[in-house]
Amino acid sequence: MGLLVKKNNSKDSKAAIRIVDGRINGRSKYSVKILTQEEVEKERVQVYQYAL
Amino acid sequence: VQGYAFRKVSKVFYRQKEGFDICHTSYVFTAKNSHQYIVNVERHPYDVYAVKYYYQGHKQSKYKFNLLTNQGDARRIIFTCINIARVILDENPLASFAFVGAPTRPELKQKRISNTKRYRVYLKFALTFFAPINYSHALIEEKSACLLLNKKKLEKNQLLLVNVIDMFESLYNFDELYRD
Repeated sequence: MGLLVKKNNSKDSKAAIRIVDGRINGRSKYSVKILTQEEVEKERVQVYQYAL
Repeated sequence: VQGYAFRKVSKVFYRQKEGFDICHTSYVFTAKNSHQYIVNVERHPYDVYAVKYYYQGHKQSKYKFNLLTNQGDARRIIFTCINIARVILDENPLASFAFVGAPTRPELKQKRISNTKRYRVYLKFALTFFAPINYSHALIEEKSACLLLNKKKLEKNQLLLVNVIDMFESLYNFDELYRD
């Protein structure tokens, strides 16, 4: 998965947090998947009026 | 959302675990067939709330989060928890949420803790009621866990995901969570 977020005020792409093989910066213990807006919309039930 | 009426029951109390202050609040509601449910809300640092519920009749069981009541009432019970989340969000507009879909007893016996039945159901509700415009959905499928990160909070703290994952890795050992 690609670029997730960058550190505050950093323009240095090396400072970016990346998800490597599902692991944040390749180091977190568990594999994390961030859903894209399209993936969420695809799975949502159409009752948006109650959404938080 | 058609949930049950609920009320706050306990005094708010704080507990410290692994250096993190966790604030506990409890709610109660009565569902179908006069079944009472307890909802424990734990506020963690970074404004992350974990909402946990169980049937009061299972209170003494160490499997209270794993047992099913088979009343066919899950939808309204989950709606009630979402309404509690709504109250939390009114109190704290920066609130993020976390949940784990605890394995059922048969899943526990099969040592299946990834992509559990509860996780699949809760996730459907989470994706429906926590709009992608306001929340970022981070899934840890192998542990049936989900983080719903508030995008307003993410704007203030772009390292929120890393901070929260680090915190939960310090607080909970998922590998030991369901071990007898």
